[in-house]
Amino acid sequence: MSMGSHPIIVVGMQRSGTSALSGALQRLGVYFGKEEMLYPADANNPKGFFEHRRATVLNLRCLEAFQMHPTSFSRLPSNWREYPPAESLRDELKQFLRDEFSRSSRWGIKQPVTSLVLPLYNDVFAEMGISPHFVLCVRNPLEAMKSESKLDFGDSYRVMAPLGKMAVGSWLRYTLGSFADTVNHSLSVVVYDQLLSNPENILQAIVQQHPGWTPSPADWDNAVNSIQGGMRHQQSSIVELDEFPSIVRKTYETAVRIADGSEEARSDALDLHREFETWNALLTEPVASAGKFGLAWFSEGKRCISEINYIPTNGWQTVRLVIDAPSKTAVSGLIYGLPCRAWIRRSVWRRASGVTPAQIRCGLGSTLAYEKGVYRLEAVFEPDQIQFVTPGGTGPFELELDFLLEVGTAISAGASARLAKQLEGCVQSVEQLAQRLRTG
Amino acid sequence: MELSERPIVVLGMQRSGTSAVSGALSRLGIYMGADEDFFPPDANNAGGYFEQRALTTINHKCLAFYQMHATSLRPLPTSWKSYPQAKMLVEELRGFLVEKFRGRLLWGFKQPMASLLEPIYSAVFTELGLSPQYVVCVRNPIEIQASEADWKYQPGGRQMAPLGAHAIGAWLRYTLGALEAAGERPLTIIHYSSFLENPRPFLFDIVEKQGSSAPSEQQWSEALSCVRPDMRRQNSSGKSLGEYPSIVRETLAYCASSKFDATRQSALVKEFNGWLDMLEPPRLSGTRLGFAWKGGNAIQSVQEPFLPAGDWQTVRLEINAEPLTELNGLFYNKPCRVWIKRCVFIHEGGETAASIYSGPGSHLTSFEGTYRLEGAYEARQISLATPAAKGPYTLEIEFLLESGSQIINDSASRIAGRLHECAARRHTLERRLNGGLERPR
Repeated sequence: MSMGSHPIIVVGMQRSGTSALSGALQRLGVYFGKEEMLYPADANNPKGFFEHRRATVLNLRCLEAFQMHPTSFSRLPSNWREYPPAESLRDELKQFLRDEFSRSSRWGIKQPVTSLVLPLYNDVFAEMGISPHFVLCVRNPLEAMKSESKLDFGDSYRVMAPLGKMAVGSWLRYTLGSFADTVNHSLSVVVYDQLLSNPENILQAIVQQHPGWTPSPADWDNAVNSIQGGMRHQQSSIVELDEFPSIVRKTYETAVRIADGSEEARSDALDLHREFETWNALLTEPVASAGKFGLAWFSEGKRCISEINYIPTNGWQTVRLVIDAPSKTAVSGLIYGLPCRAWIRRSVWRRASGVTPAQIRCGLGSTLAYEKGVYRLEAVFEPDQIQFVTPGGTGPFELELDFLLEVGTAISAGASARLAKQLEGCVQSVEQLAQRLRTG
Repeated sequence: MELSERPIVVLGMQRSGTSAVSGALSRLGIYMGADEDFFPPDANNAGGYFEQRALTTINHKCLAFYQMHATSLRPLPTSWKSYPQAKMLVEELRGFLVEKFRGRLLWGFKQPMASLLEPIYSAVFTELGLSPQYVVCVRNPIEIQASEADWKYQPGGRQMAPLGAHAIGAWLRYTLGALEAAGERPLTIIHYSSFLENPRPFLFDIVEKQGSSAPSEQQWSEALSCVRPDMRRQNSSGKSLGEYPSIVRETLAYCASSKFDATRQSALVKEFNGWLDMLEPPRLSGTRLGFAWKGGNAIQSVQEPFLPAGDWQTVRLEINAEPLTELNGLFYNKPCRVWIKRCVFIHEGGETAASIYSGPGSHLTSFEGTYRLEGAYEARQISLATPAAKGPYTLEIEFLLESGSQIINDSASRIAGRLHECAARRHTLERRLNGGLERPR
């Protein structure tokens, strides 16, 4: 048996019925992965999550690689494929699909965060010749919000503060983003109310889209019964949505219309997505300010500086700096004035006689790695954040860097934690050295 | 005379005509400050800013203390008054107004950023018994966006990337914030392009609301001649606001009508705030306040989970350690700022105040009886010692915890600086050790 080419990909915000639906689909014959790889049932989901651990890990890694998290409102950058981690994420997803589903004719993935990283999935699906059937679960966001705030963390402490009204923004991101990223694919919308009140109809509508899928009567009973009964703990009316901006109610009503088969509503959903994205752009504070790439060196006892201003573009960009220094001179400086991650894929000295690779070193508090032809500089604000040595021969030299710069709270927090650890080690070694000196 | 009770407060987003209006008011006899206190004219504002540098500094300080900046969209925390710095900021602002405007019959100030700081200004106005009159300058945000993107920076100075779409969001924040600040107090809304075409009715309205003696003909002439249509260097004609949410057009239309309408205004504010609430950045995650200590041959520890409240909160830990034992712990697992106004060991014999120390990457200061811990994510973020009295103890800590991009960036820079100092010290010691140089004391 080979990998089925029409998997069911269940998306939608957490607490919207994604687990209930997936549980029913599993009972109808959809393979969501080996039992031991699915998160076990708990107080929040007594009937199970049907969520593959590898999918969760992969999705979270993808978010992290693009400075996002499960309640991010932003989308993957439009040029996400250009980012160095993109290739390994794509490879990882392909490997996951091959490992887990290559022998399943009818398979599926349920992982709510997939809603935020659909461009990655779509890209891989296209490459593997897979045409997914997306199933988007939609629930009144006030119910999702209340359900989220009552999550039982068991013996553990609550890691996330209740999202409050932000849960409604997050619901918009999950729901509208899913509409936008499934435009060219088969999409079913499952409204939580309808799923609970009439699961058989909802499940039949999904099954009917897959020729040859004929669950047995026992499977049908099993699936339908898995949904009925006491799954709903929160109830809110549509009218209550009017306390939020009008897009919230419109989005919910549009989802219901799509679920009811309206083709026109899918186009309306895209309009709502555009409105959401516009608001997002209006209200998202720019992370990166203008940068200054500057290097300094000593020449004949004098400190010389060369610097250039640039605006980080969120993509690959090239800066050039003229360094009028003697050959074999150490030059050092800053690529950016805040903690940052700089991917550098070209670093060369240009001069009249040709081009020479420019080796990069980093400062004490920064780290530098080199992988697959690209430097990764995790830089902090220090005077010698990035260091070079001019090549042999006669200058002046032009240093050319082709780089992609990322900044953000996660990068800064990571830098701060790394530095604190380094500092602790340094303080200890200073104490030991001082002790040795005192004791002779 | 302390302060004349009706200052004219000129608000609105930068590049909306606040300088032009303030210049005209100054010529009409409103004292906006001493020339030498203003930012000097430059390529961005050849006619001058009429903006007091010291007041701008105070505003920046207010914003920075609350993790905000000049293009922040979030309002001050509702609990802003309970933050340790609030009293100092209010006093500083009050002191500034009294010092600069004492004895002036007609006075005012222009400060775009005050549009973001209404609660602080209102508190000061109330303390001083002032009933300000507001002037809110409003310009098509497309023009502001273009003007902001065209900003000419001083050579070598700090540069900002153009705000792009965020300029429109900031415009909503400034404009709606300024209108909210004015509330139902005397208000003149100045529509930039109309003002440049014909400033007289706007200025007349302000003067009339001021209710003082009329400016002279000479003053009118000077005020009107300083406002010219050619001051408008960005023109929105041909560019549409249609790509932005309808609130942008509705806000502009409301301001262009120049008529206060409480229902219409509050609907706009509600819509904007509704979006801000929905698209709020993630709140601080839950964590555990924990301490560890050496107890006999083992390491003992205790921890208590808490959710940062964005306000003062109290956490209690049961510490079963020997007297005078050093406790090392962590408040938060990210760089943070913790204000601690109470930290005591409660024991059988009573209560003992705990002295607090910070780790090498953190920084501890005291501010008006409150500790301020700039905490790094390190094992010894905070250290205490149990009292001499016998335990067990209940450690009670009342604190306010903040974190955010500015705190995190500052933390990284601070630790990088200390790391370099430490490395230099290590290098010196290594040289002494290897070279037999003089021993440290």
